[in-house]
Amino acid sequence: MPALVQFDRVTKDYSEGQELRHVLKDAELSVSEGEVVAIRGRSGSGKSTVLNLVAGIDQPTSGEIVFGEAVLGRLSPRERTLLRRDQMGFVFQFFNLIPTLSVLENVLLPAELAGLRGQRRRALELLERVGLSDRLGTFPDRLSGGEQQRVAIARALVRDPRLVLADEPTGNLDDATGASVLELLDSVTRRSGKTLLLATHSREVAALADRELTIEGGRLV
Amino acid sequence: MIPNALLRTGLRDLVRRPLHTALMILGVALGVAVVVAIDLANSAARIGFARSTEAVAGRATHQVRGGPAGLPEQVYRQLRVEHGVRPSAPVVEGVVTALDLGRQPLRVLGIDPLAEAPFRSHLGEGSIADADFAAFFTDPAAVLVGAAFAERHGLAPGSPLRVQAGDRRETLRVLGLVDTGDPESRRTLDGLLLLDVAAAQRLLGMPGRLSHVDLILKQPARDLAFIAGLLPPSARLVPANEQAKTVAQLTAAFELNLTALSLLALVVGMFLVYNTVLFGVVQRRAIFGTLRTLGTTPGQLFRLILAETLLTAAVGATLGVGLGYVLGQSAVRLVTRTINDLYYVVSVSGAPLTAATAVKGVVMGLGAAFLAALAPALEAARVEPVTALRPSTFETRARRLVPVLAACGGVLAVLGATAIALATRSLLASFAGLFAVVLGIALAAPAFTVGLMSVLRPAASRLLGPVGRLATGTVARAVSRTGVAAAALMVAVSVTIGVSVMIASFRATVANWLELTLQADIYVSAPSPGGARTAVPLSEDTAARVAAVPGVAEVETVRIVHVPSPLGEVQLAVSDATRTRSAALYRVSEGDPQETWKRVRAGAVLVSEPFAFRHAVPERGGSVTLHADHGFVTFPVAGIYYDYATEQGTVLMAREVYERHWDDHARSSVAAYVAPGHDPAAVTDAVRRALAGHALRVVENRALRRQALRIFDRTFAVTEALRVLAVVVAFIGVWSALLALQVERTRELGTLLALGLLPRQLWALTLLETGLIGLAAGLLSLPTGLALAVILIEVINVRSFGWTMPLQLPPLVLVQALAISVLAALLAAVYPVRRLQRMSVAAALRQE
Repeated sequence: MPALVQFDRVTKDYSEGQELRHVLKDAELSVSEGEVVAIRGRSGSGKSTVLNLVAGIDQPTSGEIVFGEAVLGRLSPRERTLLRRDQMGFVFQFFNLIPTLSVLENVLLPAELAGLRGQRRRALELLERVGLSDRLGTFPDRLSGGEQQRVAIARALVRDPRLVLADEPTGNLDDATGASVLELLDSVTRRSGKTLLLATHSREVAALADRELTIEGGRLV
Repeated sequence: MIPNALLRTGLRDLVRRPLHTALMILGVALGVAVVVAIDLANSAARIGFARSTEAVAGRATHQVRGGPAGLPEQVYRQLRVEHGVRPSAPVVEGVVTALDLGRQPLRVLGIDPLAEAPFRSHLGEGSIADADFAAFFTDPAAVLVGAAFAERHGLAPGSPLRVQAGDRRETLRVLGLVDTGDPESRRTLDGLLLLDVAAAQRLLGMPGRLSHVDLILKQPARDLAFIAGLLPPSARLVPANEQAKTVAQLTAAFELNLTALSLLALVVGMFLVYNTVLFGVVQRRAIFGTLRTLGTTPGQLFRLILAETLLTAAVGATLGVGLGYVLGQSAVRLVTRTINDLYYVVSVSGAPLTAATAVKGVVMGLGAAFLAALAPALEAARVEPVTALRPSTFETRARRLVPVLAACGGVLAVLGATAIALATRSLLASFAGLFAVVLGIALAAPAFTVGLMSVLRPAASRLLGPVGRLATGTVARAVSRTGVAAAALMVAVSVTIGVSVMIASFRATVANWLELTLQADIYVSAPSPGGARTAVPLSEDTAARVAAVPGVAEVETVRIVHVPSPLGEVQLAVSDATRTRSAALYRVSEGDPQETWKRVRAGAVLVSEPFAFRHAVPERGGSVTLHADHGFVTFPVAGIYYDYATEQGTVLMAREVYERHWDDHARSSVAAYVAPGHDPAAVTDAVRRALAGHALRVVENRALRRQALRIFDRTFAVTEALRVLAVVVAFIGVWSALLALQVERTRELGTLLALGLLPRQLWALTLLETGLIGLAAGLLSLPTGLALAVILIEVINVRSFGWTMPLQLPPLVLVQALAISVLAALLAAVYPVRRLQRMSVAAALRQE
């Protein structure tokens, strides 16, 4: 299988006052199309940084990141935004639904931002799949945490992305809700053949993945 | 009490959020600065007048005053020499213009040094340096001036001092400098020229006449009746402070209007404080939740917010006092110029900051900040340990409050309108009602904003897709700050509309009135140091000289004097006009204008609209009693006429009637009609040539109208400045609200960016949001501004000055108001968007 995401000697440093903190150092990563990969590590180990680098919303200090055929470092910010919009979906730890949009509007949002019309049927299908087809007009503040994350999963898939990035998707949910959300995420991505890159601190969550990587000394192993 | 640890978190928070702390300081500082500046200007003018009055009146307890032409000097001689009334001193008083000292008005005080000592210490206790004292009696051009005044203007003994007195220019000579050790007395000498009585009589054109005789009555109960019995009918014995009191009352309404406008800036500043404090509370919700979990009581959080606010406000108020002092120096120039134009002559060299003004500014700033912080402090106190982590709690509660606020606003507006309707003469109640109406509508602004968004949402969604939907949704759901921003902007813009419409209506009315009033082609008068109250007499032959100029068909004259009456001092305009005036000049008249003027020539008088309002003269059957040379005379009122020249009101009388009751034949101005076929400009030049040698102002009709309108515009300069300041404060308010909103939504916007929102879409979204707030404010400000205009024109103007005028609505004002609202809101979005653009999406997503 060809690699969808490739890290070539990626280094990422953050400056904290006068100090320089090395999060990644010459990290290598290769994620194939359709694969489910978990990146595990303690809080602050750099899991979210890896996801942000893949999404192009953060830039490596050195090294190269390739997504499909595109070398992210050679793309303009606008091209990176378009790539992200068209080919990636996001699931965040704090759901990050837009409070002023209803459930259906939240799911439709990525498609609408891309100027695509006629995505309502797909959004309805996804909401049906995540079990929220009866809450279309509800606003996020009326939903439970689990329900909000299910909306976020539907939103991540509405553009039919090649890659879904999930950052601690169960981190803000109780165990039972977390398990059901995880199961849902796993099933909807696998069933539609999507690649899933998952950042988590939990061994149980990581166990669902085809492959588990951890960040040690700035490297993905 | 607030535990130290809690206080530390609050103080550190103020330091860690410098922008917001600065905004709050700015809000209070600007509000306080405007209030302090106006207070300084008002009190500087008041103090200036009090000092000049004190300089003239000194320790006199009573004065003997005469009619318009003054008091015959024999009265003084008889009192002092024949009847032994002492201490007594003659005084000749007037105003001249200093031609080489920026044309500033100087008060002339003609005194008899030998009788002066008990009254004024200018000569007795002070030291007259380098003065050849005998010359004070013998040299008619010799004057003494205050040492500080001389130093400021580079004058020394021997210096020439060119002045304009009436229609003559004179060169006086500084004989010596008067100085006293006491700084207060030194100030009373500012702008004062001391002359011998005879020299002052010559300078002011009052031969054989005195302005008044000063007396110190040790036993007034016994002496008053005795002295009154010695006086001729034309003279009156009055308390020495009578005139000062009358004059101070004149400017009361003017001062109140300015104070009300300055308070408005403070109210708009309160919105800014509210927004900033609320933002601090909303942003620290999670921290407060933790603090509550750790055992902090709601009361402690409430006090913490108030303490933070008061501390910041104290800094703002202190800065505001300093800024107000700086602004006050400009405001005092504008205010004294208006007072000089309209009321009385006052010379003010600066506006010193008094402790009273500073304390007032600080207390008002702290009070305003305290009131503005109450609601956010209550919100902080309500934070529950559990709900603290739920971000939408506050907005949900705020949304529930919106209809309640609107209902309260409605009740407040109705109460305000009722107060205005019921208190038919009280200006203070009218202003309170006006504030209640505006505040009431402001309270309804959040509901209006939410309603407008739900109306616009479908169209915005259809036209602009998710950006339209997001923008309308955000504005409606973040109503705790968007609604308040809209309210602040609405108040400022509606004030702009209200004041602009009022000024435009006033200006159009005055322009129309000038056209109706100024019918003659050429006007001749002596340049007066002040406005209407200081109209100076012309030389006796001026009217005859003008009438003799070829091309002049007819002349009319006017004499402006001030005569006593049971109502206080009354301005009397005496006219010898024979031409019939337009019927449009009369608000009420019996019969046609010709008939009315016939009645006036037969012995009736006309009163101006402000006079009728001030003294409750009925529309029919009224009368006015005036003190003439031979005692009190009652004149029937034949009509009420429109007059926008003076707000204190005027009684208009025919010359033949005036001369029957007063021994005064002087004229204050001459109006000439050019005969048909003659060029008015050429005739004007001929009049100038005929009057060569007299320092008279000869102007054509058009120039006089232009000049009158220029004074009108000058009068409203302070109003305009205050209006601009209110808009500036509101703009900062909207800016801070938007900034707060964008900061609060950083993670939400970060999510949007992560989901593929392009930078131009971010711009579009933010500009649309702020534009919608501006639109809501603009739309609501139109009816509010018009209501404000109606109240200003129909109520405040009438109750302040007695002037009525039709409302004129320049259509551009409304378009401008809407444009200002939207533009201010759009401009306010620039910084927040740029800030977001600089922030990385990853960082935005990490924001709590």
